[in-house]
Amino acid sequence: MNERVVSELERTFGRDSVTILRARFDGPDLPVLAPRTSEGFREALRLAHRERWTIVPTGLGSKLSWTRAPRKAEFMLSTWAFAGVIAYEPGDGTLTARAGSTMAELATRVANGGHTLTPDVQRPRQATLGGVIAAAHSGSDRLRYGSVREHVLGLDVLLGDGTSAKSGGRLVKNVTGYDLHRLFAGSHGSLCLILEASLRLFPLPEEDCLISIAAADRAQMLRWSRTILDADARPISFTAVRVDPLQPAFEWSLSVRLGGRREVVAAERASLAQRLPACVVLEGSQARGEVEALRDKNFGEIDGPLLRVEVRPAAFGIALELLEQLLQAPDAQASFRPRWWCEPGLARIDVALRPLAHDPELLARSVRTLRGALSGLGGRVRLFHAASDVTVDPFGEEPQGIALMHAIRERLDPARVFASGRFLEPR
Amino acid sequence: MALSSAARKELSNILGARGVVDSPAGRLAYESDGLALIHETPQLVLLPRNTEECARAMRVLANENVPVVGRGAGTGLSGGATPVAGGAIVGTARMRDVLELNVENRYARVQAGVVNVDLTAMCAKHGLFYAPDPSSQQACTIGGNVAENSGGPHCFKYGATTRHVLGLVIVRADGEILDLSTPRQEPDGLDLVGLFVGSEGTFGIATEVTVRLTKKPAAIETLLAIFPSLDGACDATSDLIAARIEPSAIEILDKLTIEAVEASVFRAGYPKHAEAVLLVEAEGSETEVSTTVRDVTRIARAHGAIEVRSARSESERKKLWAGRKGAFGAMGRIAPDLYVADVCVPRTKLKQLVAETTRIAREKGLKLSNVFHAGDGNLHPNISYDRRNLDEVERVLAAGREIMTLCVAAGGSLTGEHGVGLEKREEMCLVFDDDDLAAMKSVREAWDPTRRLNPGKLLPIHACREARAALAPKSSAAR
Repeated sequence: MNERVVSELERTFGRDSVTILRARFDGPDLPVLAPRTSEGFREALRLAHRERWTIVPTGLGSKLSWTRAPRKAEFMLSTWAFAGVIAYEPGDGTLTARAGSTMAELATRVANGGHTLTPDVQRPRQATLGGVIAAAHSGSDRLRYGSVREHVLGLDVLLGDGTSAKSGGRLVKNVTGYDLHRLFAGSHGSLCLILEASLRLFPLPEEDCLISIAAADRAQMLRWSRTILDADARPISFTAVRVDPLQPAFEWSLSVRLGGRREVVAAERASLAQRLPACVVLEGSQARGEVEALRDKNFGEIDGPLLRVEVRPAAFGIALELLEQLLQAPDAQASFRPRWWCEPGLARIDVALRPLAHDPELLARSVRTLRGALSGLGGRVRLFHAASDVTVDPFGEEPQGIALMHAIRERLDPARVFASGRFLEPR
Repeated sequence: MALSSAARKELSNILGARGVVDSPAGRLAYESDGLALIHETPQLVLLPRNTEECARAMRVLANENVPVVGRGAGTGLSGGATPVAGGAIVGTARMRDVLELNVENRYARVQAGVVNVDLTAMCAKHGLFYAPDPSSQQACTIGGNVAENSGGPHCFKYGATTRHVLGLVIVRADGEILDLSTPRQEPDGLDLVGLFVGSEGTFGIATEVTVRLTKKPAAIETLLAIFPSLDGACDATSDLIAARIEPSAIEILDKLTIEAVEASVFRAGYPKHAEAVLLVEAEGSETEVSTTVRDVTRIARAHGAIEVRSARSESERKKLWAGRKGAFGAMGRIAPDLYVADVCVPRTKLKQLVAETTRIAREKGLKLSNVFHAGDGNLHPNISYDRRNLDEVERVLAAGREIMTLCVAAGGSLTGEHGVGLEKREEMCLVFDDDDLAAMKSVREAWDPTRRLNPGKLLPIHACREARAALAPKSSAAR
């Protein structure tokens, strides 16, 4: 840790604004500066710009291990102390809030006005609005509502030299100016620091219902997935979790979350129950509780790397089979204890790889093999929470348009105040 | 810059005789888009057949340092496709092939010149459709929709073009081909596709577009609520939003629009005695549709609707929509020209802003009609005028500026679906400050360092301080 940086931050912003946090990535501990005003953020960025320091923007730090560790960073600039709702317009179905607000507090606030906040992310008390947008983190409710970047109506951000840049606004429809918020959503803190965001909201379901069914094996899981997706229903989410292999009775547990107008949910529930023998149905608060428990188990309880595979819908079964084969190989079985979580409606497979042995080369090789096998199926393989000795790029092969992406970054942050090496840069 | 004869010859070799329009009469057809008040004759019009041809032509234009304006069908209403003096038009009129229709994965890959309505017609037999449906969908192209991030009535439910574009092939200013066509749930790296949509031809020319196709709903019902006042229709809309009712479209047509439509070939059966009608569509499962219809009927009646009726047949439903989408064309019965404003406001303020626009038109002695996407808060105050009357043109432009200023002050924006183009360029300073615009300019220069693509559009050419001072009445742009 650079003591001069700490003392300069403490001198400029006061001791209360600076804490020392153990870095969530390999490397030395870093001081975390958490200003309480937008001017404080501006001043921090101006200081970094002047001193040629590099910073890592963050919220509560829950997604720092989604990217690689920075090559160099002097401090983290956190929005956790910059929270609160700026405007919630129930009559217009829009919300504007400061970036450090947690998704949980925002969801509670808008629920009181009859709205639901998307994305419904895992562990929403530890996820900030700014962090969710910067990481383009979509929840399982993406099945009905779409991805988070589609519902960001506007952003207020700060660039590396402390100047502000606003795009979009608070309106549900608006094409005034470039959609810089589309660029910033998913830029993982490489272009800007998000200060405020406006989101489109959706109606809070009048009725909640969770339908669960067990599938004996992969083939049955895929058949029922098709049945569910072809039914006359519009689920909020649909997940298939592979049950612990020690339980021999069935292999997969499928959960369909319905929600909406009371009559509509009743009709959808009847339609699904007719097609799915022996399903279990939960309603109201029981359904909501189970949905939250299921959601938080996914990304929330991970003690190792996680693989996310996304393919075109028609290739979901093939991708699942390929991934199973890969993880059934003897060396993989000796190294990982996989936990599976699928979203068939999104053709998405998450596998948490609890490590039995530290074998970074095997992990890198597995990811490369999978990427090679899935490239023809429109597949994309991402790696989360990987240690720094895993040599494969967590985001995948170099994307099309990489030179243009670098050019955009060069224009917006020529001094490279936002730490390099985390995103879009080969090692 | 004038093109050299060698460059002209090279362009002819690349594009063939039909791909180069350089006769004065031929070029005249491209002098404006739907905003006919502003016009300029291009030096040359190029019509490539595919990405390769477009890229080769763009390389020639880059070598000659010629400004380039992209163009689809030219139906835009903000001057986005207005030629630049001395510049070339690169049109997509000969790029009309469907390259791939993937029913299983619900996407299509099409050339940019495919007409919007043709795309939906093409996939209808598979139970799919392309959701964005601008009023000009019989003519406008998918490439143009991408450039403007076009909307339409059903964007209330499905969202504007940006939500339906999964990939693009883009030809950049120097002729480089950027292939982002593989459909992804999430972009690889930065969201260049999302950023490009709505960039109004200033980043590149989209030559191929990969679009999401949507499953046709099991049931559809179209309602027509008849109101004795425009205020009642506006209040009913605000209440539908506040009550979180989710139809797929909520549109308002006022009396003057109804009269024009009913007197035209688009006659839809709108009641002439109504001061306004609310056209609402409900889509989804049978139960979803019946509950939505029940709620819409209740709220419309609570706000004074004289009658709420459902289309009794598919042909009646289509007629109701043909009337709505043909409304701009029908205005030709009122006056030879039409100025279509396109502003957005918070949906809690519909009545207030509609009343204010009426006041502005009345004070300026202008004939105003309203037909708009009420559910999205996207107003289209339409002013009928005659461009030969220079005084009237001045008043129309002044009214347009006043309406924009008013909407921005009320928390609204300059444009909901038509884009900034030339028309609203200086008014960008009402919404954004110099720092915001500098960031946008930086991004534009990353795409096109030479600034030859659609120069002078979208971003103000002066600093906001100067632009605000200049927001006084402009001189006539009429002929």
